[in-house]
Amino acid sequence: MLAGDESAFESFFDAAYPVLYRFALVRLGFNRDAAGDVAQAAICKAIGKLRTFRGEAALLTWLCTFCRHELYAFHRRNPGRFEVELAEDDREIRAALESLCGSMSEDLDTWLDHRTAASVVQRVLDHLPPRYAEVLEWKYIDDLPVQDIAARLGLRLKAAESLLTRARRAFRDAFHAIAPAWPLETDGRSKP
Amino acid sequence: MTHTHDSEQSPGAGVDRLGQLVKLAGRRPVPDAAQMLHARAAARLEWTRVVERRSWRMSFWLTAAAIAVAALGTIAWLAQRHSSIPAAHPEIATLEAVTGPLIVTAGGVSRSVTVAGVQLRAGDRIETGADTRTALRMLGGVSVRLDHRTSVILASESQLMLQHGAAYVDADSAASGAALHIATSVGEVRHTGTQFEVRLDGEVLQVRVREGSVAVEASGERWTSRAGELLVLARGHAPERRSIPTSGPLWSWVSDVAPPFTLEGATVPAFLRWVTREQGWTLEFSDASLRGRVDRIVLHGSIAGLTAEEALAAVLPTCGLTSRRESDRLIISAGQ
Repeated sequence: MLAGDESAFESFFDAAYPVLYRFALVRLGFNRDAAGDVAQAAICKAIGKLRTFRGEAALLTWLCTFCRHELYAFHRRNPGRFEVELAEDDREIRAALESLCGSMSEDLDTWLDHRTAASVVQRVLDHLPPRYAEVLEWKYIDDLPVQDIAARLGLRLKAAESLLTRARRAFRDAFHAIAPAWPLETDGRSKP
Repeated sequence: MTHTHDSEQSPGAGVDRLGQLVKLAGRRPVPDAAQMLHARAAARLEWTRVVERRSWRMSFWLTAAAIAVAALGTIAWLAQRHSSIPAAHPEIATLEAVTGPLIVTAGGVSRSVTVAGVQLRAGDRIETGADTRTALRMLGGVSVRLDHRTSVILASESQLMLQHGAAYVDADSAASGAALHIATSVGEVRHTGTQFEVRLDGEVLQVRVREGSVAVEASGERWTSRAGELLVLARGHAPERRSIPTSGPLWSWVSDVAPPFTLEGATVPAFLRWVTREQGWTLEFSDASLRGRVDRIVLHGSIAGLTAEEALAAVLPTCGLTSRRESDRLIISAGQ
């Protein structure tokens, strides 16, 4: 991207901006305009500092750092507006989300209301490889049969099933890192 | 690679909690198309700046290494090299006409502009008010006019992002080889050498073609629209086509903010061509010999402040010519 590759820029923007937008959205009381502005400022700042990215952190983690700075700046400019306490902003939870290896043992119901839970699920999806997140959304939100997912991706049925399995596993591992007490295994089955 | 089927998905295996959780959370919210357009333009500018800076930095170090080896005449060379670095936000358009105050936002800073002649840079956003129209000339020569209550971002020399309102494009193929691509939240409009209007009202995109043809792309589909046609695209609805006139009240706002024509030194054919393009008319001469005669007439003076129609009435008599209109045809005859 730093070499001026147009397609690299497009791919980066398409992947990063919606994630930053969602990151800001839940922290700004779901104000879409404010989230769009903050995400835009964050991605511009990140691009400006792109050559300092060394890969020690995940790219998404690094990008979210800029978004946090922009959120702080936004709150300074607009005191009292859209202040949202988010469980995900808890240092421990954030570490879990970012490294996918943290620990938290409370039951999800006891510390997350529905919208916050939704935002955590969505953040977990954002941390998965994009293809995994897509197939999970197609399967469980759009109720697409695996055959249709296979057709959409140009895959054979078995390959689509395998992809879905890997996506489920990745999601389950990531989510378990945040809320280990929350059972994601199917009822009627014993936990591994 | 070993494939293991996920038994949790098996029918009859019980409640799929993972699936329930993902479903309960719902689809991840996405920024709307206008936000994406705006953010993409801003990010692209920053990226361009970074790439240019990096390119310059690399050139600098390579040059410095060469200096260390050669140690000859480097300071002057570096100064010359530095001065040739392109501006991070290049000037890509000029305001040619302004009917009232408009807002130009650059780098997050807004200013009011009330006069023509202002240079506009890539990334600038232009917003017209309820009583303001403006005309811009892109670097490639394409004329763009903005109606009341319009907001556009100049993404590059060849791309505008229409956020709302209406933009009229006059890409005279005889005067310019540049194509202009107009992006909106509903679809994208591409063309080469034509006159058309793109109007975005909420989620409804209207493309009116006055001359030539344009291609409109939206939701992965592509439609072509030709002169005298209105194409309406709205989310969730089938595209709609209607026939429209290429002159008359529908286009009158365009004349209100027409860029000035320089009469001094222009030939009569050039002047008549300008008038007919502005009005959406076709030009005819009452007899073929007259066309040859007017080619040699050079005009002097100014038509500043006059509309194309007023200028026609003022200029033709001074050349011994008269005109009459028959529908969209402007017919030029020798004066009495």
